[in-house]
Amino acid sequence: MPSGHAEVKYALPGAISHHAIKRYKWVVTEAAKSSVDDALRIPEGAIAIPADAIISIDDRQRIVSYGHGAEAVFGWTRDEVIGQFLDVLIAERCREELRRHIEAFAKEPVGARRMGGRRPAFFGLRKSGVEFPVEAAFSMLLVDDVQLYTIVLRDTTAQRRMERDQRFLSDVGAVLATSLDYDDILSRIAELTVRFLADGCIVDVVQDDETIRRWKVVLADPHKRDLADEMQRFPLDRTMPHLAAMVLKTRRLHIVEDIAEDYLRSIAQGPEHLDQLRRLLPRAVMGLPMFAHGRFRGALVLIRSHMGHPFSSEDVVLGQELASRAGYAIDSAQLFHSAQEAIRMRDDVVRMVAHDLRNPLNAARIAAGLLLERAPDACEYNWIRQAAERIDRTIGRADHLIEQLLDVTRIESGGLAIEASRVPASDILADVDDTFAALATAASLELRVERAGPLPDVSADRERLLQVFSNLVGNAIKFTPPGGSIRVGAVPEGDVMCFFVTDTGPGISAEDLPRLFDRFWKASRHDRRGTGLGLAIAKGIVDAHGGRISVESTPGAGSTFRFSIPMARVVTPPQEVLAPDAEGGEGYGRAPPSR
Amino acid sequence: MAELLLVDDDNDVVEALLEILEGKGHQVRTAADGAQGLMRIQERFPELVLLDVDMPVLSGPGMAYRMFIQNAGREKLPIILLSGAPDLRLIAAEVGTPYYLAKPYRLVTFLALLERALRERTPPAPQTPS
Repeated sequence: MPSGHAEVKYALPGAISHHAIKRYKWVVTEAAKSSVDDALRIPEGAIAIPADAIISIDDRQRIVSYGHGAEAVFGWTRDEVIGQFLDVLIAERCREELRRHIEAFAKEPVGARRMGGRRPAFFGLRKSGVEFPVEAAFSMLLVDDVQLYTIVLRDTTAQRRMERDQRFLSDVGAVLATSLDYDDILSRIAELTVRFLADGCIVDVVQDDETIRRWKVVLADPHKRDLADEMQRFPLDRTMPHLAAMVLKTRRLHIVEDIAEDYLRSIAQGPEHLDQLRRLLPRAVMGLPMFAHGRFRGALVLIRSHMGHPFSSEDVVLGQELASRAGYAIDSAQLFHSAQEAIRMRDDVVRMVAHDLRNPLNAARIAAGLLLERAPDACEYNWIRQAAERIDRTIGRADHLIEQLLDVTRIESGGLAIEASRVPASDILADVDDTFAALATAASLELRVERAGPLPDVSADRERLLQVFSNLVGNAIKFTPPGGSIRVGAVPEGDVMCFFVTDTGPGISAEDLPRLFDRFWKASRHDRRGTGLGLAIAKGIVDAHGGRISVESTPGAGSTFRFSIPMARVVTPPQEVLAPDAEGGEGYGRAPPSR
Repeated sequence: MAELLLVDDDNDVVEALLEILEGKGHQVRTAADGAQGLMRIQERFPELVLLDVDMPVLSGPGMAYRMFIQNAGREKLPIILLSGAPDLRLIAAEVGTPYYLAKPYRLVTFLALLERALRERTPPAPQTPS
């Protein structure tokens, strides 16, 4: 086939016979080829897919040909429409535009064109008066000097519905994936539901104590926002009928249609409730049970307020899909909530125990101090001083462990306080040198703190940063065999300072690396040195500074820990001094004193 | 030598400190909670209060606050906060005292702080507006 144009034979649509094809020839440009290709398949398609309607009109837009497919789509018989204007098949609001479209098409050199695609081309009109979205392809034929137009129409109702449902479910999925907050999830699902599926949505949730709570009422109509609030707050008597009562009782799909005043009266729990129901004006109600892992989680009630919009079987399928996802969402949100609650309780216990442990430790430490003070000077009493010092040291270690536990709970609750100030990076390195030089020497290790040249200032909490080094260098000293070396230094990288600690220790195996910063994690269960909290705390402190910590290691050759800390800004803007409010209020969130 | 008020609900801590402080010649009265502490102050003003934070009936900061109200700052009564509470520094800032020491503290550190407080005698300046 030449690439510039295509010469094809084509049947006048409607006469669904291959034998009729041969009389007609037409030429189309390459641009329209795909449409023609589509059109070429029509003779078979028209038989196989009744959703395709094929209609031909003359230059005055009167129907001259009307196939079986068209009869199925529009509901009119061939005899009823032949000779009528095309308008009879088109929704009134689309007629003018379509007429102009066909007229413009007639003036173009192109022989075929598609209309529609992502959006419906226009809306068709069935004999029953119901409108429906269509996609259309047009072609022009010259038959014995008479111009004919053939329109292939496809009813896209089902396709649009499917696309919309898919979009809805994927939106619901996205909502569920972005939040674990119960209230947030239910609100957003209810809002999506009133956008896609109903005019109103009620969510009733079974709570932990098996009571049912009206969690959400969302109505699409912005003027009914007050009503939604009233309905959400209304103290329903759960032993009496109400909109969600049946589905809560039977735990099965429950649909009520053609709702009229007498139904509302039958479920009203008094004048105020009846007034709410009348303002809500439900015409059809679909109650859907929500389950997760076989457990009943509540009911999702969809409300339609317009006549002539009952719930279709597709709506039911979609509603059930939605209810099932909502059920699982509630389930995970509840699980997440109880996990959070458990963590909070554990942290409270840790804080309490830590505090309570410190009193006896304190009494013991004072007693050790007393022994030290009162031990006679003579050599023979040295053992008392040594024992007292050992007690003191041991208490210091115990307190350090308590402090680590507290730090972990602070980090997890986001309460680790960082008091950042401008600190020269070289001062921090000097701190490291001062603190660990003796320890390294005692372990027969070389500690090299590289402080060549001036380094920029960082914005950091000096004490906390020293704590990070204490963990990293402490580990290096602990694990590097005698004779090895530890290097500590800092390298400016963009707007952060990258600190590093490198050792010549045994290294960390690749499989252990990913979990290294997890709390309570230790490479070896038998290793009793430390709590396994040090690196988790180091990470928490670096995170709280807005930096990052990482590790590289070659088993047998050593490990390198790196962490970044933001640099202090080059020019410090003048500090604005905020005078306390003359009215007496001091700080945010504190109400001024009442007078 | 000074007259001190020691407010702490842990008996072991109280006894250990009594031994030390009385050995140094200080005169020490004790109270097991903030409410008792206030009563001791009403009986007679000490020169300095050694104050725990978490106690039954009335906490250390609660007692410090009432002292400030009742006393209206007329007497300069320094407070040393001694506690195992996390974030003691913040509690000290709230009470407004420059003297605080986290339990378990070393005896030498404690004695040095006591000496300093008795020398300076800086009374608390609470943050909370009255």
